[in-house]
Amino acid sequence: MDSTKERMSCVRVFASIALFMIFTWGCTIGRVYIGSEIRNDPKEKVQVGLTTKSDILSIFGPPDRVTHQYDGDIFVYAFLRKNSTKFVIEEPYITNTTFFTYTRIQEKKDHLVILFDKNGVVKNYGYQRGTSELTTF
Amino acid sequence: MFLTGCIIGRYYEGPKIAEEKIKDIKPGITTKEEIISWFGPPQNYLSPTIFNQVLRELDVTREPINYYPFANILSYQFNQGNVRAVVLILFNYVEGKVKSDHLVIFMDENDRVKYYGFYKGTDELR
Repeated sequence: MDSTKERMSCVRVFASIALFMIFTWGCTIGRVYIGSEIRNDPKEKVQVGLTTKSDILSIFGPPDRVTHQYDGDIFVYAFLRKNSTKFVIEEPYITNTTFFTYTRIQEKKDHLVILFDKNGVVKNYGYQRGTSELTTF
Repeated sequence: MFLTGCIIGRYYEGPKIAEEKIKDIKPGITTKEEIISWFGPPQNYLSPTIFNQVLRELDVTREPINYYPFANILSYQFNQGNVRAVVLILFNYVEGKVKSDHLVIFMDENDRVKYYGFYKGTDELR
């Protein structure tokens, strides 16, 4: 009697595993990094009315973008990160059905914009550290 | 979870920047002709690169990474992209990194170097 129960239990376990294996589930994690991190904290290194364009180039390196304006140039620095997570449960063999999909894409940027006056001295700047808002999943 | 595959990709774009010449750049002395003879034609005189077009196609960035449409700025850039992926049965991990060596030179009204900046971003890929 006990052996029959054990056999039934084994069958149930194998049936569950077989059923389980019909479904495919998978997780994909993606990471993209474009550019270099902004190397210094502008709050510590940049002084409005004192820091020059030459100082900025030696502190932060070449900007990613330069815009000319009638009252001076603008330097733009950016570091972009993209995190993506995807979780899928599907049955690809018989019904080719996707039961569940979870996708999360986060695109964040560290962004520094420095405004110069006509003499090449920093007039103002803006800094946003967006990549700190990224979560793992 | 069994290891089923591993993917490694490398992408290089643009001429390498002659780093040994960077120390010879002297603001107020070095001329535009010297810069062009040392580093070749600046890339901002060329059309937007294939690399920027690919990034736009893939919706990674909507704007070109580097583009200076001004005659008094000379820009040189070498891009390197590394892709690596681990493909398992239940889990995949894909990582892409794009870094650049970038030299930008501002010229004055007499076509001499006013100031310049250089950063070797590809070192971060090691």
